[in-house]
Amino acid sequence: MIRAVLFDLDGTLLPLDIDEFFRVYISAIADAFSHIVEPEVFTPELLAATRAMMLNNDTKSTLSEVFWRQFSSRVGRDTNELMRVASGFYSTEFKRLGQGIVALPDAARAVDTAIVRGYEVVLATNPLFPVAAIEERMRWAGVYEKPWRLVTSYERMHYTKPNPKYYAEILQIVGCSAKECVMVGNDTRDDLVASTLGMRTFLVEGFSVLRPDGYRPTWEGTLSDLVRLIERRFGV
Amino acid sequence: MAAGYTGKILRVDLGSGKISVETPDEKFYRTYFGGRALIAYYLLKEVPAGADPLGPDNKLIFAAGPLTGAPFAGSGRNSVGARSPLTGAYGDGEAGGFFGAELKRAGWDAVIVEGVSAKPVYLWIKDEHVEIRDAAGIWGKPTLEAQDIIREELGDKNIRTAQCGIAGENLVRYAAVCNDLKHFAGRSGMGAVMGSKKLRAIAVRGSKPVEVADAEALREQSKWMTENFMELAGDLRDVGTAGTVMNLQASSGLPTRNFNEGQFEGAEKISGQTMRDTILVGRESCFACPIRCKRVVAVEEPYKVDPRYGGPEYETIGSLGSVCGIDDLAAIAKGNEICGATSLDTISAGMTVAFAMECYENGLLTKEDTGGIDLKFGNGEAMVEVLEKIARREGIGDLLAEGVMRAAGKIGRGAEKYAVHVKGQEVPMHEPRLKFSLGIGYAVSPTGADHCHNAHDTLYVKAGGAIDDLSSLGILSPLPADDLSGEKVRLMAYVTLFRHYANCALYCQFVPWGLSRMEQITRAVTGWNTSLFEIMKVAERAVTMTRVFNLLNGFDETHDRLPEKFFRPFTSGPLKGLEIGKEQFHKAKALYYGMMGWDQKGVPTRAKLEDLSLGWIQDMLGR
Amino acid sequence: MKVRVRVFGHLRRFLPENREDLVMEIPEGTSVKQFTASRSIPDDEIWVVTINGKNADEDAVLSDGDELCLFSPVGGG
Repeated sequence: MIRAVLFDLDGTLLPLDIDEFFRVYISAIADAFSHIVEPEVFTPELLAATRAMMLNNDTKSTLSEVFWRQFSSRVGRDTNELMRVASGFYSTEFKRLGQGIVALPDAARAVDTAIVRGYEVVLATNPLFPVAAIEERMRWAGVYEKPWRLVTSYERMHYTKPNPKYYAEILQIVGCSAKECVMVGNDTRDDLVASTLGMRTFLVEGFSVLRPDGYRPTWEGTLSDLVRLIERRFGV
Repeated sequence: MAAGYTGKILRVDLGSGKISVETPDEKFYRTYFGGRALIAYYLLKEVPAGADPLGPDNKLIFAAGPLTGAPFAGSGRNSVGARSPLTGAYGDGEAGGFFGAELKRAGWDAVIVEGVSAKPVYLWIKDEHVEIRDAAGIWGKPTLEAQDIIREELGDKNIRTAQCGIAGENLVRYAAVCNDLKHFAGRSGMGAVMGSKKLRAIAVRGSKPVEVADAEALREQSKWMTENFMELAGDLRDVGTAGTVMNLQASSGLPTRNFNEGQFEGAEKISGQTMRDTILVGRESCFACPIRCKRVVAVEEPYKVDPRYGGPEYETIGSLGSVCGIDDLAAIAKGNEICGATSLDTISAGMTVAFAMECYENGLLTKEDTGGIDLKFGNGEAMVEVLEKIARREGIGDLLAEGVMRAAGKIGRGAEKYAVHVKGQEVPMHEPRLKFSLGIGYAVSPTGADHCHNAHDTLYVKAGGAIDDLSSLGILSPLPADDLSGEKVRLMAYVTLFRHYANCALYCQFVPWGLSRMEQITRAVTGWNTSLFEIMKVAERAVTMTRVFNLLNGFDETHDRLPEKFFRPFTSGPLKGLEIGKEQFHKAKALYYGMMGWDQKGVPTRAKLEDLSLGWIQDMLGR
Repeated sequence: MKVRVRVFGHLRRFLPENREDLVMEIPEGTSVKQFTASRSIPDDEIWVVTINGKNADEDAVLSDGDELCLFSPVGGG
């Protein structure tokens, strides 16, 4: 019996091109830090610290700890000071980045349909961000005010996509087996790698990221197709 | 092919350890459904009149309904019932959360617990596998710890639990049964019955979804709800059930200082809006529900409140707040956490504290009695301290654990006038001087004073909205809240019946389906060609069966009364001078009996029993 | 004239910017009924009205500096 539906955010529930968004985001956050870290230093170090998160295999450190350890030592500033600036950025300029985005009604519909079916819902977004940033993007997608069982942010998680351990950690937190979960995403590698653990998967059209080393989904279609599939209990 | 109901009832004898399965036929389920009516059926058949509620002859029945666990918002509820140790009458409570849905997924409609275990145990139900396990490791522990230990021991994080807490272990007469830490079958002391059987918990895990007859029709209903719930659920998400506080304050319906007043000067400090703007850290839902009316609060100073215990509902804001004269939201949140950790009914607990406060202020209790606690109205710290004592039956807690009726009896010297209860169950946070037919509902409720299977007059004062929904029952006109005419009794009778149905089917009354959609959902889940007529008959059956149980256990029409306080009008505010009037009250009560098919003494007539297919009850009434 | 308007229950959706508490500029001599009509608040969503903390009916006329509270009907729980 399926118990939980995992939803990716960017390009799945949230209609944006992640690469394009990342460019704009980097530019904005570098700007926010420019008074204490020069952009020419900031950007490469941010990317390096992000890479460190992606390579993490240390169960004792959360991704947040990995990130800040690396980042603050490399830019040579106190972690608390940097985190304060980051926090300020996410509650102000970051919000403006969502201004042009129009939420897809089927995104909220898909989540609500899963909920009233009795499934638990997990926001399985790549945990490269603090929860504040993820929650803001959830608002843009119109899915923030939902009874999420788990939102994967860097404060909580120890692995990132496409490491299968990211999905294993979700299973461990919600206490489900892979067979009891369906992963919904747009990236044939980052999201569909969940199938290697035994999860069924749904590939959402629209902002698909098709990779040569990607996986085949159990189902594919639009968000509207997903709504219908959930209504029919995934045919199970 | 069973749809909705599973067709299996589990029977566990904790004395002998015998576990057996019963498989009633479809007729049984269509007649008694589940929840209250099913519980009343078994209690009537199997619990002898006069059985000690805390003794081996009482039976504790966990009953889901045919709708529990089906895929629609509000289906995550179950009942727990037995002869009540608080009232000696029929007792039950209902709780939300996830336990009921999981029980259905495990393939069970109900669990009948009989006898008494020699030592503390818990029940483990995993689909067909049923086991009685040693509870030495969780006995005496807070509910949170106990659930963690059970999940650890059985190696499964998704196990759902129903527990009695240490309040139940200590046989506090209003101990609750706690689903999943934050949802309570609060009233009637079912936790004490559970504790008396040395059953600390039921742990359940199921692996099959609940089958429904017409998935397509149910899907259409769910689609409608996902499109409309934001609009229809009002401000439940925003401020929770605590959104009621300011409304009642404005209309003089906020129980204040043991029901001495209807408006509380500290109301704004403990409102749902204030909770949202200060201590709220999250909102949660029950099984399959998108609304998120449940509160999650956190406090650091001066009390540490653990958000894993959720947060206060309106009833708790009233019972640990205004009715005790307390305007300290942090203290209320702490009190809520204590009641959660020990599994105490917040309504009865708060009302018992308020009773003690009024006794103290009038010299019937002294600092010596309270062990040095200055138990005055408004003292939040005192309330918190006393709740801990009640759960453990320590000091004055031992007296107060008996409830206001028995405590007043023990104190004597006129303490009875401060004991605000009906049939021994403390009155919940709704004012009969504002909601006149609710007062009738308090008097006639089988479980003692209750606000859930009752009518809230203030919903029906204007055309539109709630009145429109009742038109399918033939209720076509609004009525003033203080009207107690035959028309109002009719409205109250029909509304109350439908709420009894909610406790048989089971579903959550806060999800805004409306009567017609509930009828359609019942058809879609069960496959029965049912109707509002049949549904109302199921409700009538529950009401009449529980009535008979009470008659057999020594209750009569004299117990259907309201405490004297409610016949004294307020001396200030918008309801100043407005009197219920005893003659009017008794007339309305008599009309209610007649509408239920009972005689002037409130005894169901032969004809009514036959009308409800309860011919087997005639013998029990000596006919 | 300026009136502080506070709403409880789901009524905030009828106020500007979904606010539940704000000072509004309204014409002299406006009654409660006229105000609620101007905000398209359905009659059956208003149960109790208070002006400056005292219960008032919908024909009451507002004055400059008043605090108007509107409450919707609620049940129990």
